[in-house]
Amino acid sequence: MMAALFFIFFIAAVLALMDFEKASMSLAIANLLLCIFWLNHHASDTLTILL
Amino acid sequence: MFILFKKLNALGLIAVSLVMTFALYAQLVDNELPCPLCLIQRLGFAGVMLGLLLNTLRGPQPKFYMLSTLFAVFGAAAALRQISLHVIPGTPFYGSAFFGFHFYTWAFICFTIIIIGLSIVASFAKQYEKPLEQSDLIYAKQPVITKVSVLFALFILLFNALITFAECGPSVCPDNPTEYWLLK
Repeated sequence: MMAALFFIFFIAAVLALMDFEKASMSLAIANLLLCIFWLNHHASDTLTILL
Repeated sequence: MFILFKKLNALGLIAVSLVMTFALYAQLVDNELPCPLCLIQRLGFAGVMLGLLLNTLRGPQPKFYMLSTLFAVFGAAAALRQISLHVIPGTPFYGSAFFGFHFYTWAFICFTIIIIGLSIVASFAKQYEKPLEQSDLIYAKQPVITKVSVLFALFILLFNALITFAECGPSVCPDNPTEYWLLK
């Protein structure tokens, strides 16, 4: 699962290289949300610290 | 100013890639397997890299700086969470120390520097003034430092994906990993 998040970053970087800026940005934002969910899964009080 | 800031972002991209390279070195050479929170901090660095990569390839834009800053804040929160886990007296640390600090403390320091650095660099308005031309976007016509930084970043991102899969497999990573899932 965690490896998939890294792989999404790689795909977003390749898309940026191929001139698909919007797709790359969308993937990055989607991945940020996934990362936040994943962080919350591992450490549910982190969002409290963040906020 | 446009070219200067493109190159500055390329330098930043190389710097963050080197941080990731050091983490990979510790993992492969010293056999320090990253815990789930450590991997989440690496994801924060990867996100910062993506924003810098977009700035480097497409020219500096506020939304790319925003992307890097958001991931830096995310990574700092994860690092702070891990520091708070180990700061209680009598609580064992995770991993070995480097210059007196553990990797998660270094990660927090790095994310803080990144947030401050990005805020300062993004505030120079002249870098956004040049209208983007098609020739600015062609990879072959980019400066050497841009090409090197982008290829280095792509390699680091792919390598992280592969080695994380080797460690954790398709499911959730163990809290205290001692061996690679792929080598079991």
